[in-house]
Amino acid sequence: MELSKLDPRTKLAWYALMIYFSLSSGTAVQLGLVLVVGIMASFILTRSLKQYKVMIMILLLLGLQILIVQLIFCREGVLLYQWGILKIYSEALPLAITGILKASIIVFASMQFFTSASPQEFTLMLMKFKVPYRFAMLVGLGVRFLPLLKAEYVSIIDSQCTRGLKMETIRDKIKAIIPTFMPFLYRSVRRATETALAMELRGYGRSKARTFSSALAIKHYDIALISAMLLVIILSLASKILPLIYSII
Amino acid sequence: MKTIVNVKIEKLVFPQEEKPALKNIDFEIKQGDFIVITGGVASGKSILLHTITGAIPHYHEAELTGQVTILGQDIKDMRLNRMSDYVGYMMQEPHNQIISLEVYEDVAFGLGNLEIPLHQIDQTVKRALEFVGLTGYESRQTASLSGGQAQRVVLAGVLALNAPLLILDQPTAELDPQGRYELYQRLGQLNITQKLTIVLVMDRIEEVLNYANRVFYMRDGEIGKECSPEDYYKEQIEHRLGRLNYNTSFNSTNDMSKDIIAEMTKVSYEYNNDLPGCEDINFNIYQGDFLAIIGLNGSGKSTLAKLLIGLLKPSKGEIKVFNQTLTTENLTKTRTQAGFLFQNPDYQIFASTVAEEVGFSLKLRGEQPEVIEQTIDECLHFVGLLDYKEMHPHRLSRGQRQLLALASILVSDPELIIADEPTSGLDETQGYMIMDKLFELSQQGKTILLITHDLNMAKDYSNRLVALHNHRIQLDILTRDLDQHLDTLKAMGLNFYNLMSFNRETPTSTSNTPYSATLGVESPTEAPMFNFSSTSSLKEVNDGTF
Repeated sequence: MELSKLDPRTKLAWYALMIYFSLSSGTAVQLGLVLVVGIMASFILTRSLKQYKVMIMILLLLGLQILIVQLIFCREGVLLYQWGILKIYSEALPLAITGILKASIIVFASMQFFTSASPQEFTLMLMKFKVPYRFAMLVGLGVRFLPLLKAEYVSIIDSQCTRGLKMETIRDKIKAIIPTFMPFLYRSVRRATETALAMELRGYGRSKARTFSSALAIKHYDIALISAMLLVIILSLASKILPLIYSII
Repeated sequence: MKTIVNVKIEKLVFPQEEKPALKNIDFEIKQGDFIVITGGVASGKSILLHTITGAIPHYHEAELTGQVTILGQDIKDMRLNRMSDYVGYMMQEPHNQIISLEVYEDVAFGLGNLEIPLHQIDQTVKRALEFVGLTGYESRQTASLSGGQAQRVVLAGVLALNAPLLILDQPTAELDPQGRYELYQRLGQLNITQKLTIVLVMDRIEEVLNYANRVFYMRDGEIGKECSPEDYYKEQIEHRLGRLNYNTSFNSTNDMSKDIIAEMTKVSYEYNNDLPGCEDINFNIYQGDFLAIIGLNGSGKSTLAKLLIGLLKPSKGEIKVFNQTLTTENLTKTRTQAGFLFQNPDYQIFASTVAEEVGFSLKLRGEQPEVIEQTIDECLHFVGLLDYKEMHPHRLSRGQRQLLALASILVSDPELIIADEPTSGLDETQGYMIMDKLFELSQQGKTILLITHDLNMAKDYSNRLVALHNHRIQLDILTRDLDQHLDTLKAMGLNFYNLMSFNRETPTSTSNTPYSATLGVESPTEAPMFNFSSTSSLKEVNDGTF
């Protein structure tokens, strides 16, 4: 079974499960296990982890920040090392590791969800949740126009660079904001106006429903998977909440 | 013939404006009409189209005194998203009108909004794509389409809705001669075999006149005159011939110098997605050249220009500009000596006054305020915009904004001026206005590199022609020797033979499959192109009115 064949609602339930575990698990071992299971699921279903290459770079940067913050500010555990005002406590590293793992699971699960569901699937899923199609279709529009906007912004930068605008240092780039952003804004407004008019004139929003070229049909295995995942979340929540209720009683 | 549209506009005024944008307009559009609307800058052509489609006053606010009716219904009383039953509207920039990520989805977009059952959508989309010659493109990503293909996808989406009236606003502005020819041929077919009523805004003399039956010439928001395509053609061509003789007489004296300004040796460029940009380019630009680079859309013309100015780095080969190999270090210096005029002036306009916009390059280079002021005045005077010095650039017309862009590169007094499709999106008068200025600069000794798919302009102004085909240079000739190479150029889709032809051939005699055959209908005039008998709203229009 391929990942793309799963219903987007199943993917959403999986996403919710991963986020729930990342927030509820406390130890590095538990979190590591959740991350490995998530990565394995992706690998088994898509046979590739290429799409996460960029994510790893982002996570490394994020991880480094978490590590530095924990090393400087963590005051739990035993004092291991002191140099001037810098004090490193024994709990800094475990806390940094769990922090990095939690962040990794959230970023990974988000990537997994947003790269596996197509804009059309998003739209159809939102409509199943009773979102009007006029709003649900905006996801697809965003995906359609973002690359165009990017290409246009590059053309604007090219245009200004040939007039002598420098884009080498960060200072240059900050100074270049006005000469590049103003034409971009003007073009974007014009584009949006034309697109909206073209859509209206092709009957967009004339009635509450519309025909889509594909439909979401939830399959038995989707229902089984969603039920199982919801059950896990409910049981896990119950196991945490019930003892609290009993203790109060 | 049945009246499709009745337009009676006493005046149409936009908020906060005193002068009416349209006035004293009174005409009828009959079923089967093919009307071409033409006219000068800001004459109200597009506004008239917007008024017929209902975009004005429903989408753009304006006070309309008068009445516009489509099939007997006042457009004021119709909702904009119901207009698709009556009118299909195709605007200038195709990529702005493509809504979906895949071609199939986009053509099906309007049909989906009409709640047509899926199996009918499927059939209609396939027929529409077949008609525009894009069978097999169903799952293509719309972002990867060329300008011509995108135009055809939009046309397919509009035609799929089967409205009795088709309105097009400068549909060929971004198309090369071949794409333009094909589009007009298709429209001619639709008009004759399907009796589809067509209204089209044309910005220069084009082949569409072969298919039209009425021409409206607009001036200051009014229809100045209505004439037959033959009369309009004769009148315009006489005007153009006078201009041609004037220019070619200059052109033939423009001999090549031996000083090399720029040279490209075995240059190739590949885009990130492995698409070729240019392959094995070898050529020199000589001092004083007015060099025109011609080729179809996607042949690599703009890539070549961007390589020359250092916006792209070649994958292979060497580029020398002013005897120096282009490197990151000398790029800034090179760009003071070479100016680049982009296709769309709006990519660079950001300032709040014309003067500030023109002075931008000088300010970046830290010139003295007095020098800046003087240079701005000189350059604005040269392009004829000195009177607009303190005006906001976006209040200028598109042609004037292109002149402003030209002025803003002239302030650096460049030796070499690269102009990438500088007349695209301009009407004929404005286009020649830009070209005349470039020619004047050429006469002053500047070297001009013009990238264009307007073969007329290439022929009239250049002393040398370089033709690109499939990313390679196929021909590098002196313009005066053009006659010896017409067949070679024609084989590349660059047909110089029929630049001025006007023969009213019937579209059915063309080699394309007539869509009556595509649709399998015996009498095309009796059957609608796409039949949605189960759609109540369309049924009403098709059965009740037609």
